[in-house]
Amino acid sequence: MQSTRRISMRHLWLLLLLLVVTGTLSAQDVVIERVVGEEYTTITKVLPKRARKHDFRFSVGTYMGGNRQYLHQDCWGSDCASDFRGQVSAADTYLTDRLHWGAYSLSYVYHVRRWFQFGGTVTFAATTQSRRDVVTDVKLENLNMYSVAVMPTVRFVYLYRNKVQLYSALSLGINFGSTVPLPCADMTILGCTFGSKFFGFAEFGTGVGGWGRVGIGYRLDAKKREKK
Amino acid sequence: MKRYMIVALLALMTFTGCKLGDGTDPNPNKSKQIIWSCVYDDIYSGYHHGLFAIYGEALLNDNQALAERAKQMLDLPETISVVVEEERIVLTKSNGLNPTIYTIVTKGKKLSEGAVWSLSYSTANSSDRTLATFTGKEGSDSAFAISRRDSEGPINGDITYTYTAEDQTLAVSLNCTGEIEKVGAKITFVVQPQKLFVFTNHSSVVGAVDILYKDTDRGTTKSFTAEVVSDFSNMHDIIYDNAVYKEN
Repeated sequence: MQSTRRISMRHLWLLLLLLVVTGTLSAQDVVIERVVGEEYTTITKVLPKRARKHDFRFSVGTYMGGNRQYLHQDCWGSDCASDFRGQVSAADTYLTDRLHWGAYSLSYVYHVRRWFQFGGTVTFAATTQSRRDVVTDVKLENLNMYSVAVMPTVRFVYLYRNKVQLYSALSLGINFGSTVPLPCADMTILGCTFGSKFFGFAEFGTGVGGWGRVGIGYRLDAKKREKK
Repeated sequence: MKRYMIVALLALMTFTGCKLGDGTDPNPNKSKQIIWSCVYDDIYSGYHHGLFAIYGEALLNDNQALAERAKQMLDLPETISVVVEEERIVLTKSNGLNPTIYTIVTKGKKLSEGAVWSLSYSTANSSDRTLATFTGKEGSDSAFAISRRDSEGPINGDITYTYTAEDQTLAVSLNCTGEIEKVGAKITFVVQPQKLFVFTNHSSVVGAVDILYKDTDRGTTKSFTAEVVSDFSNMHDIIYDNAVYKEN
């Protein structure tokens, strides 16, 4: 058990290191080479080192097994009973299948550098389940669970173009909800945005946001506002 | 625009929503099965203890064939030491340093003479514990009454048995009532007089029992009849699958 944990932590550190290194190598200037007539022209578009932008996003993500601790309970009330009366009582009821309704995230990040952004993410997820009477099928109680994860976020951009960005992100925080507050994490292994001001995005990751997320976002250009 | 938004929302819900399972199957007989298995254990232990009395009576009557059959049905090992004394029969199962001793106190009288016997159990680590009391019926060499009480409640009834020497069949019939006390609940059961529990050769059982379950915490009751016709090839089958439940 401990060795597994050690390996996981080592992997986490390696991944974090990779994100930082690749982040600094990212967002290269665009080099365009053209042959006009007999002349060979090289145009280098130097992107600004700083890109002061505010980035707001809303996304919907899938379920991940790791979120079970926030959105699932092994047994409820009389189901947990080891005594005879409790077992008989629970046997007169049944539990419907637990349904997951998606992980909904709101995030804001500030573009400090072209390759580095930081901000925060709030993720809400919920599951529903009910207990019903085995004879009448009447619903006896709701066993719904929800979780709200509040996490500071850092994002590393590999490719920074006007219309497309590739990035990874890491969020660590606390999960509140139906269970006691627990530490939580979310990692975007690879994400891609399409569009400049209004944009859509898709991400592949792990953590409270789910393994797959899609969403929409809006970038507010701080630089332009400052000029005004 | 609204239509597109609704379609997009539904698509997203389909993409992200999922069924996690972990629901349970609705089984209207499940609570009855739990109660019945508990009652069955009680009836079975009454039958099992009754076999000791049949074995003891056969030994005193010098009926070796019946004694051997009863011994087989008690699952007593060949190596068990059986000492018939004037006032008791002592069966010692040697398990290394911790032998198990069953003692039938006869006081020198047969059940067919109207004797009252007691069956007790002890090990090297535990003192004598009375398992059951048997009361013989004068003039009847194949019937006696059984009374036992454990920590959960009493069981009282009559046992009759028949042994057919030709095919070595021993049929033990049990007619009893009992109570089982649980924390927050009480079970009362009565074996139906017209459908007594008959254990034949320790390999089949038939019978029906009326059961009243009372949840003393909630004040609710559940009344039903469990009827079983089964063989002992699989104990689990008898308790759960082969029982038929009828609401009373």
